[in-house]
Amino acid sequence: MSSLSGAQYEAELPPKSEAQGAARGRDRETALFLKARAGDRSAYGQVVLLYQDRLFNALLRMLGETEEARELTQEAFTRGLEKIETFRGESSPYTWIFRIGMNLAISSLRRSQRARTFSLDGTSRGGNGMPQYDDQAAALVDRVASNTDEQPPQVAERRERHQMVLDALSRLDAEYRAVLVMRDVEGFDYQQMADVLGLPLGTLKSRLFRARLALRDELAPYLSDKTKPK
Amino acid sequence: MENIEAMLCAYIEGDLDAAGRAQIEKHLQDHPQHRKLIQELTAMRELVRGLPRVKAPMELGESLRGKVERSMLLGDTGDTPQQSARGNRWPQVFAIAAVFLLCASLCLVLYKALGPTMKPAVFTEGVAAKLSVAPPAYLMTSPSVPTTRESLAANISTDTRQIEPGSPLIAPAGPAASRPSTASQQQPAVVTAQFNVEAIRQRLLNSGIDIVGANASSPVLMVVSSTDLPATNAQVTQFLNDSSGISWKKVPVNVETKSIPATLPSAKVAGQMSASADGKFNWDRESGAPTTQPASDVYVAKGLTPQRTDVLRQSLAVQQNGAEVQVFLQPAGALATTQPSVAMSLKDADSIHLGSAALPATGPSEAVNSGGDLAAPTTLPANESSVAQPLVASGGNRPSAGANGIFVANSAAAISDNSQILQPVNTVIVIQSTSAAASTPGSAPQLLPTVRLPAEENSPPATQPSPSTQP
Repeated sequence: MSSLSGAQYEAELPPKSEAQGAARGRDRETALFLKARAGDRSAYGQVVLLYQDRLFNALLRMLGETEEARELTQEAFTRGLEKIETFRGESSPYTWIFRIGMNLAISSLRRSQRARTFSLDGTSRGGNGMPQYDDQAAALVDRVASNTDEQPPQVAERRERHQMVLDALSRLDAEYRAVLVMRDVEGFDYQQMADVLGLPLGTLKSRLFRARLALRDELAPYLSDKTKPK
Repeated sequence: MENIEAMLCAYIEGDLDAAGRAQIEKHLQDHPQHRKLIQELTAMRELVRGLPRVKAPMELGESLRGKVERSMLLGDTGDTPQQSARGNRWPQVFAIAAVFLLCASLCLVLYKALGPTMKPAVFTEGVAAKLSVAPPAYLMTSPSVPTTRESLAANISTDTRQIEPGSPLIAPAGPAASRPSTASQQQPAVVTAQFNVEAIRQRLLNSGIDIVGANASSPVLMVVSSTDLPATNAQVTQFLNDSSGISWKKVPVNVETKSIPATLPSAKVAGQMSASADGKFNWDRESGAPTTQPASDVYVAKGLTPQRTDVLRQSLAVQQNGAEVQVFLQPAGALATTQPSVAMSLKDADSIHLGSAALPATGPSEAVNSGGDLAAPTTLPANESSVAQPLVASGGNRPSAGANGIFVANSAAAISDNSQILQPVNTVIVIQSTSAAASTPGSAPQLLPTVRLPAEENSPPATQPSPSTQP
């Protein structure tokens, strides 16, 4: 099963060894997308089913808010359906849809001009620091995560680390956030990123390097604490 | 700089070629602090990659699929947003069009409903020629030139000039002639003066008679132009008889005719005067026998509320066997004797003639020289102020007695035999003929000969001289 299948979208990116299978999956997705473009709306429904989790996760990491990520995911698919005739197959279908969603997210971030507090699963924190679940899916994710073999201190440390990263992400500019999400969350290659952002490869790599520097600056206190001799 | 950053990025990502990687390694060996930085940046990469993945909410997929299915069922072919936006504007266009249609329909209904109310009386050429007082310019019209609401409103609005005490009741011909009235242009010999109701009111005030209406909304004057006077008279009489709470009195103009000299006589003297077609005044007040055929009828009513007046007006406006009936309501407040105290002050008055009804013929030169053609002194004697005098206002030319009267307001005493004033006079109804054909002998009141004013004000009038000017 392709790792790009939305329903079976697992926690890990597809390893390099599965590149061939991923390519076959993309071919199938492209065929499905072309059917949708030809007017087969059921095919577009399958495309939605295939991409919704992945796109939602990416937008959630961009935006940091579950509700907004949900709205923009829906908006991206809606606009994709409206503009599907403009799809020419020059990029993968997901990249094409993702570009719509990413542009929506960047525009939203620029409009809001506010720092966002990210959470691991899109939940907001209550006054007592406990997560306030927005939906059952997020609660399920948290419950499943808590059922691993990790010991509570390890779980807590992992959650803390993730939250620190998300907080640091939320303080970055939208452009830096976008390249980090595309590269590290989505696993896009440089060409895909360049297609989405419309940047030359050199500029894209430079921006990615600067984004990592900025994230390092944001996480410097956390890293220094971790490296302190106890 | 960008190239170096790109190389460092590729080094961290492990995408750098061997030559580049060797170059970076050499640099890092020389700069250990940079190696530490690269290690931290690599750690950043792993930290972000280690973030958990979150699935989309359940309702997101359901909502999206529902949207797609709806699109499929509705046969939407995937319009572009611009096309969709255009399509969505149609309901707005239809809504706007519906609003416009509704407004237009409403205006049409209002026009139909209020048309009779707004429609002024039409003073046709024939009628105007019979008037010894030229009616207001906005009442003048020609059958071939329909009177419009706009022209009426414009003329009314221009007739609200401030009146100084003692100002003539009949404005000089100049201003009237300057009015943009089509009728006046077509009837220069007739429309030579403006009937100035406000001046009359002011003159009454100077005489101690307050005619400011207590109820400004009350119609105080109703002029009915009819081609079938008997039928209209019968209709008005029927209405007044059938309406309870209304006391009224029909005042034939020819009975009340009286001659007014250059100065206003007392009521008794005035009552002994009468006018006739040949300029002699033969009215016998005791007998009340008319010497001329009534050319118009006047009803003075009290207790005729505005609502009932409107009912009467509308009923009169209905065509009577094809005969033309037009009703004009004098703007409220222009003339009113609605206050009981005022009515009391008028109780001994025989009548107040405002207009040309049954006036003696006088020359136009006298009319002009008398400063407005009011046959009354500017100020009444103090001892007569409590006893209303018959005030007669007429036009620049009063060719004959018995011509169609325009405005006649009787005192309250004329309404009630016992002088008991229960309600003030609030409505004066004047019925006049709109055509000579309707006033032929035997079939309708006889209209007396009329004389038009010459084009030149001072030119000799084609009328018989009045007694006051006759040697």
